Amino acid sequence: MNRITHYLPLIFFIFLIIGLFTFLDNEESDLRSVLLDKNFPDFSLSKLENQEIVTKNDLVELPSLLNVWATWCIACRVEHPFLMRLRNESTINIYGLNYKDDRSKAINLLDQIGDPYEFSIFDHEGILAIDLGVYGAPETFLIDKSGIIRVRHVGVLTPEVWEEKFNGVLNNLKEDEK
Amino acid sequence: MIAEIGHLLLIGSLVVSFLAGFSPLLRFLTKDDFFYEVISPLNNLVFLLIFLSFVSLIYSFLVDDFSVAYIANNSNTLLPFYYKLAATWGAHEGSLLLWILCLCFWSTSYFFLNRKKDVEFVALTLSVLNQIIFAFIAFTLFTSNPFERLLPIAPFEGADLNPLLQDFAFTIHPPLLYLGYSGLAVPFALSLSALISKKIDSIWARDARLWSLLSSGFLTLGIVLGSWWAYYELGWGGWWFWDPVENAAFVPWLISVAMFHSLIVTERRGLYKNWSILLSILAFAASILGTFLVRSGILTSVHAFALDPERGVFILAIFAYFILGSLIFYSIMNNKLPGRSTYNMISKEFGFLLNNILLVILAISIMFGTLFPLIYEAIYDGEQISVGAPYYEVLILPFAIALSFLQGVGLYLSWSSTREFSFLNRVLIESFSLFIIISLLVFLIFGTLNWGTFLAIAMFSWIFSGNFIDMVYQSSQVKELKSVLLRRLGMISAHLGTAFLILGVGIVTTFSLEREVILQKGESYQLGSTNFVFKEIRESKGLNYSIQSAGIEIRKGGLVDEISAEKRNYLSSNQIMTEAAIKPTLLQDYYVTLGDQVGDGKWSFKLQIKPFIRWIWFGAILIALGTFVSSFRQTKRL
Amino acid sequence: MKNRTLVCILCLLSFTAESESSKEVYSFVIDENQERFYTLLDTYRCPKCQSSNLSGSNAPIAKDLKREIHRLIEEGKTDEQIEAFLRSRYGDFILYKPALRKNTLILWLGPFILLSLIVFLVVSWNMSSKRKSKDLEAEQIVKVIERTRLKKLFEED
Repeated sequence: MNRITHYLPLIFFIFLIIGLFTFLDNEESDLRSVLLDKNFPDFSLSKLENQEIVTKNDLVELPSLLNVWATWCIACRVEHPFLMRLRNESTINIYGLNYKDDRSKAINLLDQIGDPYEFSIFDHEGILAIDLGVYGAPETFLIDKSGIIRVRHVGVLTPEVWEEKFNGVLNNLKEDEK
Repeated sequence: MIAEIGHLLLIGSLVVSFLAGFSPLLRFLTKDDFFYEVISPLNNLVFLLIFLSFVSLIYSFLVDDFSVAYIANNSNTLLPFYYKLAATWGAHEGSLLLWILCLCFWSTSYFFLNRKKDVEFVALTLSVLNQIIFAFIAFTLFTSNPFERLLPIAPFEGADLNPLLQDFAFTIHPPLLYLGYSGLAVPFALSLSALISKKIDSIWARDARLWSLLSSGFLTLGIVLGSWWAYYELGWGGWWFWDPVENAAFVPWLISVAMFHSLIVTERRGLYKNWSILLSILAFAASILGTFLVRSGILTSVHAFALDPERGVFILAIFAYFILGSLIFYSIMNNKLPGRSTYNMISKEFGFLLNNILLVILAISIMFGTLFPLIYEAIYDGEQISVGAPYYEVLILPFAIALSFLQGVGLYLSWSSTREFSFLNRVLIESFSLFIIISLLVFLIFGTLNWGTFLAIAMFSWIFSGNFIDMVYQSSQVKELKSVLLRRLGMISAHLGTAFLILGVGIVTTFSLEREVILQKGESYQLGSTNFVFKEIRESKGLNYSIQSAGIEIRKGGLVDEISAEKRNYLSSNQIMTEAAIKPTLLQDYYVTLGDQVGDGKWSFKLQIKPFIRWIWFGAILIALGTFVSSFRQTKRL
Repeated sequence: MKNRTLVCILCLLSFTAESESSKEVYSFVIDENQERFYTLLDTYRCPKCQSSNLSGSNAPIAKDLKREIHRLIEEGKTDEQIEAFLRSRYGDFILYKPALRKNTLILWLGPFILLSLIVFLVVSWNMSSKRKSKDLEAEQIVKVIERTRLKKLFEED
């Protein structure tokens, strides 16, 4: 009995070190979206371009992307060319969520660098953003045609991320349709 | 050039510390005592080399040598010279060198205090310390070299020292904290040396107690300064966040406190030898683990250090070598230690044992709470969870109650068995009267009372009467009042410090007031019984930043004072920092943070009133003083 | 007369209260909710900044969440409902005080179970070692008696 208690600290620390070692291996992970595989939240906000009110029903006809962006978000510029490429090369609809931004600045920016979106939702107060659990920009969501959130990506959308996270899910969705 | 010299000195110290660290192996093979005798001069040489290396880094900072990558990243020509000095330890690489310097300082001090002692024992202790020094120098050189050059093209101007760190408290916070962290290596080395040479006696206990008291004192000061800094610099009035980095300092502190208490029993009664050795290993483990958690980037924190998994692997390897190595020694050797003698359950020995159990389990629980989000994520497939202040507050409360109960009665327990219980009546009566008086005073000041404050006041009164009032009473009964009080001065000061700290924490958490308001020039807002008047907004320039400051007048009763809350824009990094306006008084702090401009002439402010917050730091400083007084007494007995 | 002054004072008080609340960023119909609001902000983590609560954060998302919590309080929602609102969007990550559930049982109970277990073990060890030493003493006494008895026997011989 006594003998075992003397070895307890040693055993404890061996486990601790193994544990810490595995933690080191972990890639830094994004916050998981709680809304994954849940319905896209209802909303009623205006379009960026004009004051026209849009709701959830205006989004869900095909699988679509919702990209959170803003003029103050520098990383959003990084992913912009890829979004433009997606718009030209892919059949998917891309919607923008203009997050906590100035309306005229945002319109100007899109005029200058090109608009990859079908339309952008203007969310000055971050109302829809909170319902989506967004905590910054850029973020990108993949919504299937029945309005369920399938993928969420926090950070810049690159071709690699697209291949890794989005493409597979998108192909599955297409196959399900067939 | 100077940087190259510093680099070479660092490499030199790597070699010398290696020799000093592993010389006992040669002694073991050759049986030649020369290999023991050579250790102390080598050890002192390492200190000298590291010291000079550190000085050359400071020099390179002062002359703005931006060809050194570390300096280019953390300094700037606009920085005033005292911040250039502080920038030396402002980031990962330099602070690591400072850590090593502190450890060398301790190992050399240990040598000078013990040079006339048992050669073998001192040599073994120094060799363990030098192995630790060696490991950390290697870590610095291979993963985080502060002398690395940016060649061939050196920038003309450096990035800046993080504006948050351009501050007085921050210049001395790291040195104190590192003196505390690295000081814990000494009891660890002493224990290993005692295990190896089989001299686990009261001399060892006395030495180990001295060093654990010292490191505990420095840890206390380091933590207090950190807390004070966070309070006025981070701009939202918090003084303790239960952030991973703070926990990484708090856990070794708790264990060091447990250790010097346990060592009292070992020194006086020859008991708890195994336990004291285990504690010294645990304390050092907690100290390295803290370093690991902060610098490997596995935990995110407000005190973001350079994050790098490779460094994490290196520190983990160091951790594994020292902790597993020492525990193997411990497990093999301690079976041979003499068994426990017996004591009554109501005795000083048992009181100390309970104190130790409480402190160590609290420390382990805090560490577990800190790691729990990682464990949770690993087990539940990426699910994320947070463990923060509200959890730790619930956790610490029962431990604090039990510990302060022990603190009040611990002094009156006798060794082996307590037969005299008349103290209980006295302490009860004294603390009850004190409780009533303080509750009345607090009620008069704040107009209300609640359970939280009652509890804090009760704990305060109990500790205060058990450690001070009754002590004075008792001493007045006997003739040698002065000598009794003097002998216990360190302990009394530290215990009263915890009492003040508890009272401060209890009152600040229950009576703080906080409002976010929008004010126009000339408008005022009444918070509690205090009027905050927004007088004016000014623009000015500081040394390396531009300032917007809001003049706020505080009116409460007879007190009228104007303070200014600032927003600073640091030119070289274009970072905006808020400088809170703080009006400290004995009973409460008035705390104003300037927010954004929200329309014409309107600004948002955060107004806070923090009662008794100064008492927390005052208490903690008393604790530190107490440990220093006790360690001073301890050196006299060497 | 007395009553009238009282009414006047009350009017004045309510007037000052009114004008104070107009300056607050988050003003509440019910005054007690003020404290509740600021307490709640301390218990939720700002999702954007990795280690800060909502109260201490200046991030835009923290401002939005403060606004939402303010709205929910004004709508008369309970603390539980507010917590559910935040959890359904940001997950358990946002709670600084983890909910007591099966998965977090060890976090909440572990320290206290460990404490009681160790105190129990120490007390029982202490008891048994004392009993042992008492037994030892008794044995010694028996031996001494035995020896003297034997001595006596020999001497008698």
